[in-house]
Amino acid sequence: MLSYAIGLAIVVRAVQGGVLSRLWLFYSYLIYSLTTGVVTIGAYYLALGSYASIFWFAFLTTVIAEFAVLLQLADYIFAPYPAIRQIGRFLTVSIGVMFTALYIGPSLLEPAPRSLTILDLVVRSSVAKAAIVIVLLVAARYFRIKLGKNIAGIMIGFAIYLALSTANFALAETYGRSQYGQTFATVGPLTQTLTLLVWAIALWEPQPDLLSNREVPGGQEGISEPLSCQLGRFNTALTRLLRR
Amino acid sequence: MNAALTYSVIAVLIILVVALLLRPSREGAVADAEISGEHARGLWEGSGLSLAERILDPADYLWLRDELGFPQLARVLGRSRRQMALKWLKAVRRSFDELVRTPEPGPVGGPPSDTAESWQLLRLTLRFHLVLGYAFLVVWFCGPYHRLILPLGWVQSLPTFGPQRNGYGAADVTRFS
Repeated sequence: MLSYAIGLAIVVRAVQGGVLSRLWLFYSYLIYSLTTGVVTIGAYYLALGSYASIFWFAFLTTVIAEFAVLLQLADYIFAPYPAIRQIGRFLTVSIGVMFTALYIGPSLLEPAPRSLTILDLVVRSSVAKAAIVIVLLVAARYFRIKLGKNIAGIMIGFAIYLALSTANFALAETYGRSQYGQTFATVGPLTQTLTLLVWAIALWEPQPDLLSNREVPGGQEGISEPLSCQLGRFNTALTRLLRR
Repeated sequence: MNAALTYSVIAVLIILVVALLLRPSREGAVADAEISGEHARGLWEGSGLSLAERILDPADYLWLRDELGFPQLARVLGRSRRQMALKWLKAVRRSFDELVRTPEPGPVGGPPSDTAESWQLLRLTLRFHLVLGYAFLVVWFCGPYHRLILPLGWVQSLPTFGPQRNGYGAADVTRFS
């Protein structure tokens, strides 16, 4: 119940601050997770027979939606900088495709019981998403871009969630329901609550959006020619100098 | 058992790496302090490029070694020139990053534009970093006088955007100001 309260508080706070549209996919994901959580609890009490199917359907759609959320975060981080505006998208899609082709896909083709396949899918997709988070942070650090408390907090929350999910589902896959079932059922909600707590702290005070700020400090000032010309000039000068 | 252990270690590593990556960077702040915007712009002007050409020119080294017959002094000069070349390359990178990090407000309330031009800008940025990274490696391992012409041949064959269209592609670098 605590996680639902925190999740609701994050959404209400975003509505109050008028920032819901800024990261609309992230907030949609949050609302979807909360809604499906309520639906699965309802199914547990009202239709126990379909509980497992509803739970896994909701869970797997959430796992897939997380890729879309990461894509939006990637866009958001680099959006104010025209020269590297697409780098987040490029990295996210490249890593996603690479992991799907080489790491996630082949495991789906191996013959195994359905429950093990689902657990393995969650583990591997969590590792892929964690790789995306890390590479995005590496890129941001490489170009020395300040993420701000909001985005940094979302990234930390994601990292905690993905790391704990990876370990929890891997342990469940190895030890099975009989040995690890109870711990699994405890760690899952704890992970969710911890993640939402980190997000709530990070998003409580919405920071100004650099994209919508028309008077960017330093933006366009002193630039007398298009950025593409300047970048090209740097490239040409460096290449010619090194070719001498 | 092994898989569970491996993934548990991966989980710990994920949190550690993310925490490390989100730490404030002192190195970046120091580098920013070292090179002001004015100095950065100067790197690409005539005198800055002449200085770089002088650093990378082996004439002094060869004169000291072959004509005056001081091979040890020539080696010392080579080492100091290597340090200077690395510093110059670092300064070039800071200067370029400063340009890359110039924010530009996008459309109000809208997502960032996904135009062909923004992909071209990314390509130019990555191309610059690739060439610069390669130059760093060569200067670091082989010194400032190592010839870069052959390995960089393929870079020149890459199509360029903007500069050629605007007449910059074939210009003399010493006249960029």
